[in-house]
Amino acid sequence: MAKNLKLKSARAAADMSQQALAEAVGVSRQTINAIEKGDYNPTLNLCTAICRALGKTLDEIFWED
Amino acid sequence: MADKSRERNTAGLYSDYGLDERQKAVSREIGLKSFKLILIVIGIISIAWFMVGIFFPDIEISCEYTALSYFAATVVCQCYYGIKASKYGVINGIAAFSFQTGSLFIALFSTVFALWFGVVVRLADIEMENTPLLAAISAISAANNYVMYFCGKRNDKVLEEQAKESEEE
Repeated sequence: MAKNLKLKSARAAADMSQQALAEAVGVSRQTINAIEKGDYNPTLNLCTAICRALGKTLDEIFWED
Repeated sequence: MADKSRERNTAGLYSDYGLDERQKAVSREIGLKSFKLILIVIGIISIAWFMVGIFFPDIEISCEYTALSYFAATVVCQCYYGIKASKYGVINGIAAFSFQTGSLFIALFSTVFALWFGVVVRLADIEMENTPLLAAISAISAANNYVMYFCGKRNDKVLEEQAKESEEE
């Protein structure tokens, strides 16, 4: 699975650490790291929670061109 | 009604408590493999006992030793789950903590029992019934608890490494 660079850059743009994002969506920091590295395919619920926390849409973060 | 808002202070090896969705998914995947393993192992043991019963009718198969073999198989599969789960750091924190404290104590206690029933009783020629059986149960329990202690330690180490890795990212 490819790295999710969109998530990483959106998180950086929002000035959030992996820990802060993890706490905002209720998962562990390792899970955010695994999503960014492309090691884990999150559920739709987690995707929407991440998008809400970052103020982005699903397309902007998770849609692969 | 039970107060569900209180924080739990006990959780077993297979508990999902405190795990997020990724950790639960990994844990369940390992659990499924562990379940398949236990089916295979118990199937093989059952066939083996069946064959012994058919081809060696002179051998008396005691109920205790049959039960012991299934107990050993269950412990092996539990150890398999623990080792695999700790490799990915998906053992819940409460269980991992209890393994690092309680399991070592139980393991040492069981080792003493195993040595007593397996060695001391035999050497001192003390008359006791079922000593090999008791020695085997104690040894299996000791081995299981040593493995759980190792799993608890490894789980924490893996989580620390993952935390470091994410900091570097």
